Amino acid sequence: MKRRTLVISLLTVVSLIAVAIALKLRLDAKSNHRLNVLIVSACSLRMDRLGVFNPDIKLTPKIDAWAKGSFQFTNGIAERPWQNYTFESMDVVPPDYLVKLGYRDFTSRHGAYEFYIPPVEKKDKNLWYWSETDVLNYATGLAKMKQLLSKDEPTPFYIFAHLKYMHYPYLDTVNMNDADWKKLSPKSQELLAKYRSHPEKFDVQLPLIELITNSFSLAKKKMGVKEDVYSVAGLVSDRARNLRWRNSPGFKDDIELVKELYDLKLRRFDDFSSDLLNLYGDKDLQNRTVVIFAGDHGEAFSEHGVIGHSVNVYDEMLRYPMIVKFPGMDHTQVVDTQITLRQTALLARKIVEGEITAENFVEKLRTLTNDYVLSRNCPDTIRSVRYRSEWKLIKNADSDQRELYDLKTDPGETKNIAAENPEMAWKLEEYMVDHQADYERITARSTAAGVCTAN
Amino acid sequence: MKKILLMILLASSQFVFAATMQDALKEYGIKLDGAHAGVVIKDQHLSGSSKSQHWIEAKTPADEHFEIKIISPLDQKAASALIASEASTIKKIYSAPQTPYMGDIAQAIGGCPTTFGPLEKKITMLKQDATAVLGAADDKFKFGACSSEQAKYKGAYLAYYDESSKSLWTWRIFVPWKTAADFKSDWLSPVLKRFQK
Repeated sequence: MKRRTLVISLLTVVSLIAVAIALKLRLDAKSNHRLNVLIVSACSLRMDRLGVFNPDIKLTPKIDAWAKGSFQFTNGIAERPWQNYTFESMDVVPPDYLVKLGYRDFTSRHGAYEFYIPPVEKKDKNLWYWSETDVLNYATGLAKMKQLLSKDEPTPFYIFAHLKYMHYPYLDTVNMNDADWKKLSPKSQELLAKYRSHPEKFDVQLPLIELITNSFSLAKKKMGVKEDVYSVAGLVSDRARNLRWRNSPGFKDDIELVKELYDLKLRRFDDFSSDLLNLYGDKDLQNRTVVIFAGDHGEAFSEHGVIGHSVNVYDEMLRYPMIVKFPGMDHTQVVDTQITLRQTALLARKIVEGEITAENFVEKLRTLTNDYVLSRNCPDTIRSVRYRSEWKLIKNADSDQRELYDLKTDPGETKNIAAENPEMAWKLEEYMVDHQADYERITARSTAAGVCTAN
Repeated sequence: MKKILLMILLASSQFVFAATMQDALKEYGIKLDGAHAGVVIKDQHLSGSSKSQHWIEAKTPADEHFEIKIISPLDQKAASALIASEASTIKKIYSAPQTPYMGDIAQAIGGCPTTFGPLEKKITMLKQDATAVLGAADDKFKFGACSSEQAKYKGAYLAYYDESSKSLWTWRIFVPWKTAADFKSDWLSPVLKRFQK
C-alpha cells in the first residue's frame, strides 16, 4: 500500500513538473513572438505627395524603398484634423497596461516622443506649447531614439514618436539653405525672393508672406494687433484678407509656390524620417519590430479656399497615408479600408497582445474598423461623415444645407450632389444624428488653450 | 392619349407640390395666417433606417425665408443634445476663428462686431419654450455675416422637442436686414405669432 502511494505521489509530482515545464515553454514561446512596436506619426502629410501612393511623384525615394513589403492604407482618415488629437488617440494603449504585458515603458505618457523643429525665434516661447510632453528637436530626438533602440534588452518596446517637421511646410527658416531654394522653379524662386526682400510691398499677399516668413512684425503692424502673439495660420484664417488674396491675379502662381515649398520640405522629411523607419539599419531590430508609419491629418493647398489644416473637413485635410510593416514581410498589400488614428492605436494594442499578426492582419482589421468615420473641424462648426470611402456628407453650421460627394467619381469633392441624392444624404445625416455624442468626444488634452472644444 | 393625360397629371402635381407653407404644415395641425402663408420651395419627406425627416423650405412675398426640419422619432435626451450643439456652433460662427495652435493671432482678430450677433432670446413657439439664437445672415441665408455689406437678413435659429410626437423641430427664419437697431428690436415675436396650433 505504501509503495503504491509512493508511486502515485511520484507520478503526480512528475506530471505537475511536466505541466509546469509545458506552460513555461508555451509562455516563453509566446513572449518570443512579442514584437516591438514603433509608431511613427507625422504632421501634415499629404498622401498624394508620397511616391508610395503616387508613383508619378519622386519626392520620397527613401520612404518609398522602406515601404516595399508592407500593408499600405489608402484611407487613413482624421477624426480631428489637428495634431493635439493624435496624442489623445494613443491613449487606448495606456503605459501601465504595456508594463503589465511585459513591455518597456519609456515615458510616463504611452511612450510618446514629439520631434519638433528647432525654435524659429529664440524669443518665442509659444513654440513649446506642449510642456507636458517630452518635446525634442529633430537632432536630439533622432539621436535619443537611436540610443533607445540600440539597447539590447530582452523585453520588447512600444514607442510612439510624432514627427512635426511638416507642420511648417512653407516656413523658409527651418533647416533650409540657399542650395535648397535653387530646387524651386525659376518662377517660384523669383516670387520668393520678392516676398522675402520687400514683404511690406505686398499687402494682398500677406497671408502667404506670413506663412513663408513668419513675419509677424509686419503682419501685426498691418493689422494693428498689439498683443505679442505668435501664429502660423492666423492671417490665413482672416476670411476677408484671404478672399482678397484668392481673387488677386497672381494667386495661381502663389499656390504653385506653396506646393513647391511643401515638396521641398518633404524631400528633407524623407531624409529625416527614413533612418528611423529603417531602425537605423539594425537587422536584428528589423526582425523583431513592427513599424507603423502614419500621417495624422492632411494639408490643404487651397483646394477649398484655405491653406493648412484644422479649418474644414474636406479630404485634403482629413486624408493621410499609413503604412504597416511587419518583420520579414516581402509582399505589398494595398488596404482601402477607412482607418482612424484611434483605430490605429487599437491595432497596435492588438499587435502587442499577440492577437494580430502579418498573417491574420486583413481579417482582424475588419473587427477594428467601421464603415463610417465621423470628423469635425477645430471649432466644431463643420462636421462630416465618410462612408466606406464612397460617400461623404458635410454639414456646416452656418447654413442648414448639406454637401454630399460621391468620392468614387469625385474624390476632389467638387460637385455637391445632395439635391440629386436626398435619400443618401439623409442616410448619412441619420448616422450623424445617432452618433451625435461621438463628435463631442474630445478632452482638454486634445485641445490647446481651450479651443477646439465642442461647446 | 393616356400618356398625355399622365404627363399632364405629373406636370400639374408639381404645381400642387408648390403649395403654401400652410399646406406643408397641415399634417401637424399648424395654422398660418393666409397673408403670410408663403410659397413652398421644398417639401421633402425622407425615411431612414430608424428615423424620418420632413424638410420644408418656404418664402413669402416680403422676402422672408423659412427652413423647417422635423426629425422623428427621437428621444428627449438626443434632441436636447442636438439643440445644444447646433445653438452653440451657430454662436461660434460669430466669434474669432479658432485654431488648435496656441498663441494664434487669429484669436486676437476676426471676431464679429456684436452689432451682427449672436443674440439669445427666450421665445415660445407653438406652445413650446425655446431659446432662439439670432444673428446676421448673408444673401445665401448663411449665419455669420459680419459687416453691413454682407448682412442681408436677420436670422433666427430655434429648436424644441415635441414630446407628443417624439420629434425634434428645428426652425431657421430669415427676415430682410434693415439696420443694426432694427436687428436688436423684437422682430422675431410677430413672425412666430403667425403660427398657431
